[in-house]
Amino acid sequence: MKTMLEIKNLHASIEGNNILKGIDITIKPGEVHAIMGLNGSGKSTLANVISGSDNYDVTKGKIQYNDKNLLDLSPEERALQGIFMSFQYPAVITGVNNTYFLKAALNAKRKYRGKVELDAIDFMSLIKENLKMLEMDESYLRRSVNAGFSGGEKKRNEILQMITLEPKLAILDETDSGLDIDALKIIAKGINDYRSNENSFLVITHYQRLLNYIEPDIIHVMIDGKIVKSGGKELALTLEEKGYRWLEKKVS
Amino acid sequence: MSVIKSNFNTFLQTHDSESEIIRDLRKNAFDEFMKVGYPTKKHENWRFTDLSSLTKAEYQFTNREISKIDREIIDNHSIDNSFRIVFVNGIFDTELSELRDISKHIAIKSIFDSSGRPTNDFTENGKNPFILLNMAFVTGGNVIEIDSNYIEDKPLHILNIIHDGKDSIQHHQQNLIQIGKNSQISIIEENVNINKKELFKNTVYNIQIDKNSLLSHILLQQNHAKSRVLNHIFVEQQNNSTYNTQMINIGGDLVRNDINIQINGENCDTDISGLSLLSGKDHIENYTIISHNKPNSNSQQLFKYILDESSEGVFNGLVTVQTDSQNTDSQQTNKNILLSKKALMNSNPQLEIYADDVSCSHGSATGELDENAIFYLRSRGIDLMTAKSLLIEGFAKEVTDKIKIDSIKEKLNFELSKWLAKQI
Repeated sequence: MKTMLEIKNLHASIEGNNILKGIDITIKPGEVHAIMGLNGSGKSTLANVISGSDNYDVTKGKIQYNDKNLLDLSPEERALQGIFMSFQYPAVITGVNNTYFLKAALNAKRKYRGKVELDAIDFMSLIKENLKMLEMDESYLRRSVNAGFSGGEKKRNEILQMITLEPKLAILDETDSGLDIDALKIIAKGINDYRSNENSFLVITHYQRLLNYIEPDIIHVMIDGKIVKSGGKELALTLEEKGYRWLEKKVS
Repeated sequence: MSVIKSNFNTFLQTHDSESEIIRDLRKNAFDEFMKVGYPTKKHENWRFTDLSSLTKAEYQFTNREISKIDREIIDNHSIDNSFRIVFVNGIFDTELSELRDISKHIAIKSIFDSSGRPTNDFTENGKNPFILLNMAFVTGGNVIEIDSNYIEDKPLHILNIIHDGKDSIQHHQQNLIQIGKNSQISIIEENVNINKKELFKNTVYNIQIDKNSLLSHILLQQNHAKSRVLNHIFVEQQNNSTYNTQMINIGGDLVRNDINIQINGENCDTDISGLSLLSGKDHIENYTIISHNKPNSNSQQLFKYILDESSEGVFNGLVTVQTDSQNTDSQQTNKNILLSKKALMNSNPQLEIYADDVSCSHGSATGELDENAIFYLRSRGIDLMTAKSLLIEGFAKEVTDKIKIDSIKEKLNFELSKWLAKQI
């Protein structure tokens, strides 16, 4: 099968501090990869580097996305080509209405793909359907992007954007944090409904809890900017039982 | 000071047909001005203001005869579904105005009464030397009276046009707006300078709102890079009255709005806000004073600035709550976005409270566009320019959303996106 994303020997730093110290991951279409690790191990840095945040400097290595060198592309080009990140801490954008924002994003993507831009009526019927799927209130449409949203509402909003923008590769950065069990189930359902043999996921989490609902094909364990172990879904249970320390010892 | 002295002598000679009453008023005001002189940066309220473009240059006076205005200019500024009053160099142009149904409920008169005396006189009140100059040189202006018991949904659009072909002009004007009891109206004033020549404009506004009345007052000023514009806006509110204003300032070499609101009644509501857009070497100042002189009133202030290139903004807001003004609720906010490292903002919110049972707050924040928000929008496929525009429009929206009349809101949003398109 063709490879979608290939990360090779990736090193990245922020303000001179090395965070990623040689990451190798290969994701094929339809695969769900999970990255587990403690806080500060570099999981979010990896997500941000793939999405194109310029807070980080890539010092070595490369990322190939389909047939493109991903590191050459701006964040918006990456998004237009099918990369999406569900943010751990989504930005609050006062004064910009959710409907306006999401319609602008969707139409930018449709335009890029040579599709007709959606008018207000078609957009509304699409968004209302997606809201229903995530059990979100329609009052959402009149609010500013993430302004005054609870933690759970912000995460739901991320998944709403995901299913609306239809990415090829979705990176979910700690999407489960701050969610109660009911919200987690709803979000997991949204994600699972979106799974297909074309769409891939990179799920970042430090608990096994989310992986009970979103079953990964491969789990990578990240410690201090490196992948120290990769394995099948059963690895999550081992981590739950034994923690990360036994792997840390192995590293040193 | 010699420039202004010769200016005044020339002025008296060219206006020798005026009555003794007004000539005396002018001379007294001018003598007073000569005693106090121009403000300098040593004065607390003028420390950010560079007045050299006003004090050193020679400006000629505007024509007193009405100048012909192309209808196209009027059409370009027209607002759907509104009444229109056109003033050219401070003189009422009946031909270009469209009063229709409102004409029965409004009176428009020259600011000079039958004896030649201007109806406004703030020279006593004003420690501001430019108010003295205004009295010395005033040539235009009008009284607009709105009837009592009159509620109008359609806005009244006032176009203040300056039109004079000379290379550099000065114009001193006085406007009086009086709203009768139990009335409601929205007024949008637009200041238009047709000739892009050197301009010094000095206007005194007197706004009187009687009991149970509401005035929504929008002031839209677009100034070119050679404009020096001073506005002295005095507002007096009586019981149960409401004054809402949005001051929209786009550009200008030196623009200063001094807004002084005296809440002289109980249960009043005062909501003043401003949006200033600056680029190049623009300099815009808003100095506000809200004085709560009676109990049980609310006032809110929200002034926002968007500053690009090497522009400079000043916000100075003072709220005073007098001893008897219990149960006053007052908020004051100033927020600014710097789009360039060279842009500068001076912010000085102040509170003076002499009553004990009040709720007052003030705050000020200046910063750049939020990088995280820009990345968030870009990560959704929105390009950098659009992302920045969205954030800036979102920032401005808090002010423009206060405007309840769609046609005016659209006009302002249009002007805002026009400005943004040039900057970003």
